[in-house]
Amino acid sequence: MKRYLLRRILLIIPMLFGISLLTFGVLHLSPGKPTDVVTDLNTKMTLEAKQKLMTLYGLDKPWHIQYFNWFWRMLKLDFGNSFKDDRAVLSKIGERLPATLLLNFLSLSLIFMLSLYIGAMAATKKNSFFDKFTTLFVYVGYAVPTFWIALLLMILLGLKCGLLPISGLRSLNYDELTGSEKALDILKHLILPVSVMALTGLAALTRYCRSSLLEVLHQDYIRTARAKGLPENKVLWKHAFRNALIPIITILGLMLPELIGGSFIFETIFAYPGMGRLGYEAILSRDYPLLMGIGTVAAFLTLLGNLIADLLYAFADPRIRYR
Amino acid sequence: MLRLYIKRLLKNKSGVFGLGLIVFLLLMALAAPLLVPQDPLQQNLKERLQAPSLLHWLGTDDLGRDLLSRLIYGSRVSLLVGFIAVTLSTLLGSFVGLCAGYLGKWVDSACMRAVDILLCFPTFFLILMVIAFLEPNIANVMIIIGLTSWTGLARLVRAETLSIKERDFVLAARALGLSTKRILFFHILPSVSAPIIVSATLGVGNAILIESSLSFLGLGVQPPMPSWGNILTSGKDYIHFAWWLSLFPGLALLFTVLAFNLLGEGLRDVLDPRDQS
Repeated sequence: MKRYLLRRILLIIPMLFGISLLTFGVLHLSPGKPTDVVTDLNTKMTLEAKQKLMTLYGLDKPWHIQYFNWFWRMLKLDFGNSFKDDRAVLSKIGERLPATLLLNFLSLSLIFMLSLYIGAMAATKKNSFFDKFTTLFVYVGYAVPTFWIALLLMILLGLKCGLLPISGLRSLNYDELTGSEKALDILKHLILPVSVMALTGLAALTRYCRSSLLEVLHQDYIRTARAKGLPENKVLWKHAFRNALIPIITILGLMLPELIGGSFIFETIFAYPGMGRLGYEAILSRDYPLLMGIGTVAAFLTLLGNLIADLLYAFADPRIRYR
Repeated sequence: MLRLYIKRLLKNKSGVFGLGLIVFLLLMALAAPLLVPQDPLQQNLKERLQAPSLLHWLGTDDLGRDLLSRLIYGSRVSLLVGFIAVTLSTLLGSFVGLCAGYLGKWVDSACMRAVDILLCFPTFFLILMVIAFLEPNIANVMIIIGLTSWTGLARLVRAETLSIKERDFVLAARALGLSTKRILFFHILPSVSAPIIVSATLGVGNAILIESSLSFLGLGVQPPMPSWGNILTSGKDYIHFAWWLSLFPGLALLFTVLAFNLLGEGLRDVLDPRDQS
């Protein structure tokens, strides 16, 4: 187990190398320079000053040297400073990361718990009204543009009914609130982004959960469990569920990049103070060091998530042993 | 064989529904200039933000342009992006999967590592970045969606190829001394075509969704060219009093993507009866 873990953690390094090289390539193959944002609008900018600016940011060196400089510093956890306000990239990401982690963690938990429950109910009552309704939900959930649902919910629940706040993470009067009111305030702000973000994943996982359970429910050991007179609840949640869990964990692990990618859309729509919106702003202002940092952190989170998913297999299925 | 497949598909109700909807959309997109009640770009500030009426069935936008006409022209963008992006990703994914599966050794490891890297990268971030740095226009959107969505298919085709290359007919082809190219494209490719067709059909819906998200964020198809995504963006600013601008483009997207997904599922049942999940 320890050796397996060590090997998996070491494998993250070449993956990060590949991913950061990809990000770097995209940044540097694209036409134009990040300094253009500053220099093009400034008529007093001389050629000399432009050159100085390039040297200052290290953009005058060949790209492979720039990349290795960057990678070397990254290994020491130094992502450089943002072009925009010259603050350390790591601290800028650090400020925003907890909010994004919270959002992703809550969405993932919501997806996991709800889809298991709905999937199980649909599987045990196959072809019932509930099952058909679930199938409809799955199809619509797959096909619906989530940003559109976000928009509709913002109008309906936020503007028309005034039930939920539609942007940010805190109300304007947050500092005046007491402890429990503060928690409630944040919770209220989270409801819309979390549910919208969970929608597609929920549809996907519900479907897998249903079909996975349907398959398991036909197995002989389920018949045995029923034959020895176990209550149906116990058969479902103890015997069938654990065996149906394995493919579900795989799908959950595969969903991570999409979920993190989704942060870039939803945080922008909901003006949510997380890493996704920071990334969107960094893209618009061509903040290379910040983009490299965010790309790396996002990829690292995904790799970590996949590792956790792999370790969870052993939990779900004692037959799996890691060496 | 083909007749059998068509017969089976026609028995699949949701598949037929999807196919019908797609045919309808295609005809609408092709015949757009004949169908639209008004030029989708023609502004008429006197009639701005009109609610749906007999004159403007789906209402008008902030510049007085007829929403129905804009939606009909928007279907051209969605379908074009969907088809071209998927053609690109299908070609790329099948090719990489075939080569990795059949050639094995270092080709396999190299391809699969590349796939692993792309799979654990939040694709949408990559797409946003590339589009923002190049110029946001329809051609770039199609290319970048195509270039980033082939990885799943590559894995699928590789797995299928791995099992098929051990079959007798492939061994026979090799024993006859056929070239690798010929074996790959004339013997193995037809045998793995079922999952490719299914994945391509499902991919169209996905590509359409990505395009609309990009256009919604202002990094996709640029106005005045109407795309369902960028109509929603302009609708967002008038959300308080012009609900029709936010409702109809979303519904159009929903039904289009649904149609491709239903057809894809139907094709899966027809072409690959083993997997009935």
